[in-house]
Amino acid sequence: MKKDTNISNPEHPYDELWTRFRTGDEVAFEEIYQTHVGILYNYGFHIVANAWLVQEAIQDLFADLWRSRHALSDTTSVKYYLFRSLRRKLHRMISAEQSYTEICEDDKSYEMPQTNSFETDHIAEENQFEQIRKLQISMAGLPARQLEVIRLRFFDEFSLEEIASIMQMNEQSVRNLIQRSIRKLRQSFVGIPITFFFLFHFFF
Amino acid sequence: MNYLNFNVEDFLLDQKFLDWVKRGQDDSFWQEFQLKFPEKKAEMEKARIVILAGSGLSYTEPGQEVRNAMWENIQAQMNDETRETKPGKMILFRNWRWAAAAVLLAGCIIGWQLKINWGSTDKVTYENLISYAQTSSFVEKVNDSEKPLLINLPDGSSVLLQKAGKLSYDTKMFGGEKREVYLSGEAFFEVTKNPAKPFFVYANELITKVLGTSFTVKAFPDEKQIEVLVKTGRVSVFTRKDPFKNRKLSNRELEGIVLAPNQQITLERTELRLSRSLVQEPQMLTMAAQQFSFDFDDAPAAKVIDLIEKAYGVDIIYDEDLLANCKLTAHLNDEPLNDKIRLICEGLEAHYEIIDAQIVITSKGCGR
Repeated sequence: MKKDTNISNPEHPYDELWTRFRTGDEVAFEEIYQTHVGILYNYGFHIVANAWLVQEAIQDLFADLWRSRHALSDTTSVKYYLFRSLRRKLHRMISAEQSYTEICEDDKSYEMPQTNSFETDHIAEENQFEQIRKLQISMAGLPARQLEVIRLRFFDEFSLEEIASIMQMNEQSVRNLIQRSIRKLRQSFVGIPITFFFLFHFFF
Repeated sequence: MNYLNFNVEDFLLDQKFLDWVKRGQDDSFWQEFQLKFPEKKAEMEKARIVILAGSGLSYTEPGQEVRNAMWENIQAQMNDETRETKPGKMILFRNWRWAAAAVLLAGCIIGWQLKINWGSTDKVTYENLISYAQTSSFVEKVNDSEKPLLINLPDGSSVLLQKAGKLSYDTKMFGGEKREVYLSGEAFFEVTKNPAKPFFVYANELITKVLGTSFTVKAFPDEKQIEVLVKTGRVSVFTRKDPFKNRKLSNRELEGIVLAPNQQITLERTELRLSRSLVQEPQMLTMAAQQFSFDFDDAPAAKVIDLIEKAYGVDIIYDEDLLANCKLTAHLNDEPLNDKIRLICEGLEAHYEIIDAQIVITSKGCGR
């Protein structure tokens, strides 16, 4: 019964794709790939800034998925399932690499925030553009796991429960990570120019 | 939902709040809420800014070409049910993954076929190769027997050299910065893993580079093709006329055409064309398999299974106690592995399942 409702439910096209894929529909499988490869790549690339490795991991992930399709169950969220699998795969690959030093708890990645995204354009009229840009720069300097939680929550919009499962932590630890990152971000506002100080004083 | 007790973290984790900030959903509710409870405004505003900043973080995604190349690679693996995916086996490939990072674009764009502009079409032979490699510390092994010849290299790697094959290497140079051997004929290599010292097989026009894996090279002087078949791990293959040959010979990375398990590459020596394809059946370890006879007359089931395991290099899991009394009469020739297993299981009235590179046989036993 559950499957039937999923198939006929236009609100959940992914559920239908997933069901078709599990019965061996390659077209559905490719659609799942094409729909998710961008966000998976983005997530993977921010775990480890190595395009080749991320590509390998995603390829392996999808090849594994296809081969084990008979054993897969109904999933409430394909995206969540893929993120969790990709993270595991990447961490397995990384942990095997002893000389790997780029990623660690206090990793500072120097990515430049993308300032012209939809969301930032959207609110530019309220003169928050600069605030957000500063905040993004501070975020980029957060320890890797704190930044990962922020991405998973605000960029990829996973729930607390899903984030906990993806990152293999309990929910309280995820909350703690978020709290800690907010605290750090707050500290980082101390150094902002006077003109903006007033605003932040108001908000924080 | 009692938003009155919410702190910043709670707002950050609330889906309705996120929907409002990112998409303006239920805007009237939230506007009204802010008016009614101005004491919440500061926390909401803080959460809002964090969400906007977090959702506008840099986004990196592959271009269409890379996406398509990745999809092709996935498709190539999709129907290759035998590919090893066990985590334990993956260890084989881990170390060089990093080393090979730089390869990325080249590997993706190359795709399945690669045409090579060949300056001249002079054939390169084993004799040419060793003529300028030869020194006093050079050794050559020639297999003039009918059986495969086992050669143990100084680094612990083993080579099963097929009849009429020749293999040579410089004992002084070998194991210096790199491990190099020259081959004529057919050989099955099992190379000791050492990412710091790449292993090169020079066979006519083709150079095969590995860091530690097993594979077969077939390079006969008079044949039109040279073949490299990968049993486990990955190998990089390039020709002597490859424009990046020198770089590939000197660095520790696997680049160019990289073959995964159960893939093979063929070099058409006259057309000077490299093509990559999937090996259709799980490849038998060329030499080892030839030594096994698959004719069984009332043979213990465990022995049969053991032989198959060895010939194909797969793991077969079964209950030894249950099968202890089982006997098999079977004549297995060139059927694919799956068919062999099916025939065996029919004889044993057993079921089997193939999970990744493992075969699990479930039997009730024979009770005789």
